[in-house]
Amino acid sequence: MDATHWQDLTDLDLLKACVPDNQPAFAALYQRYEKRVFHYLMTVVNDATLAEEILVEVMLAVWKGLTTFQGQSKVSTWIFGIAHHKAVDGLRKVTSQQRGGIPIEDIMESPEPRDGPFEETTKNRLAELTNQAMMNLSSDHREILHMAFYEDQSYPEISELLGIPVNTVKTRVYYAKQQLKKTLQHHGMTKDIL
Amino acid sequence: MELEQPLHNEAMLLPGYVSQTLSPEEEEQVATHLNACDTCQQELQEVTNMQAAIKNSIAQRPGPSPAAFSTLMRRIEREKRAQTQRIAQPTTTSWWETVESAFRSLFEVQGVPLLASLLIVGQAFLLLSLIGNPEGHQGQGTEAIIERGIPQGTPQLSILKIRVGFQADAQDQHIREFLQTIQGRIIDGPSSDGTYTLAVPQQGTMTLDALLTQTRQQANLVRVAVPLQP
Repeated sequence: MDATHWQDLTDLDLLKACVPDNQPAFAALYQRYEKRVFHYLMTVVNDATLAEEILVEVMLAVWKGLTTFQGQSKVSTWIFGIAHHKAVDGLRKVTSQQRGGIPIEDIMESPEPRDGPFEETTKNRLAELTNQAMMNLSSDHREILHMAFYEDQSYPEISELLGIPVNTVKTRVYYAKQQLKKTLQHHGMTKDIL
Repeated sequence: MELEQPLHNEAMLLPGYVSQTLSPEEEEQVATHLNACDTCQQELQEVTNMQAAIKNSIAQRPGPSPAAFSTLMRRIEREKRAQTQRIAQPTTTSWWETVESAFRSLFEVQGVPLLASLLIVGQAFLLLSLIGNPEGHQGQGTEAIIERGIPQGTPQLSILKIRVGFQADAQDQHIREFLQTIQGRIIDGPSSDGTYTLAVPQQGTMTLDALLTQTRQQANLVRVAVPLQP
């Protein structure tokens, strides 16, 4: 089977194709999820080196669990559930000082890049500001915003992978969004972003 | 910083409404509410813009380095080797290890009742074998009754008992030598008439009369020797 074929498969079919010990299929599964899981881990642990280490642990756990996955949940929910637990473990290992985001003031005062089209640099700068505003939230709020706003996970799916009630998911998403809005307001960025 | 409470429950469903992940019932509930609530319409706009900003922000992050995949594949190969070694490792144990393991398990908490039961049964068998089974000898007629505690098949020795009176001048040394000769011993006495009871194991064809005759022949030691009256 060639790479094109793997791309056509659903997550579940690709997972099944990985068993027993089909390395090309597993490589395709890795490629499908590496960026998504890595971005999620970056949101939670805010450290590229640590996020990459945890990514390896997550995908190793996926490889080990290929034969035991029952298909009761979506493949993505299963993989992000593993990533959540590994990220929590990873966070325990680093100090709060290492986890803290770059002060948003540092981003605000940094000189604007002058190369490239103006629209593109403005977009990049807003993206960077949003990113840094996110990193000033608690890891719980960052994580749930990532799941709800970036991964488009439903409330029941988030509930399953975080192991919290659906109503808690709803209120946590609401308050995380409110907290992010406050941070953006505090730095006068609501007009740009909201 | 104090965070605002949601004015309406529907406000908490807006992120799901934007990402279209609500159930059909919830989606209809939110849509109906939005038609009549300006505050939630404004909140919807904020959520939409914020979601776009977050998507744009995260999408611009770099991905993991290619080294992560290489590391992963090395780890997987290592796991495979470890699994193979676990399977290939001999699991046979010697007979002594098996016996020792079984014996040790008896002393574990769950094995104690079994061990106690085995000890009780073992003791019971031992006692029964020592006592013998009287019912098992019915019909054997003239066989001697086996005393308790003496195993079956042990030869039974009869004891000859006589009463002996020693001469007044008999010396202890001579009496002791005589008793050794007949392999007898004094088991009772002296009685009111000055006699002793002698017990002599019956050896060979020796009879009570022969013992009395042999005893009476020691005239310098023995003044009287008579069979013991039952």
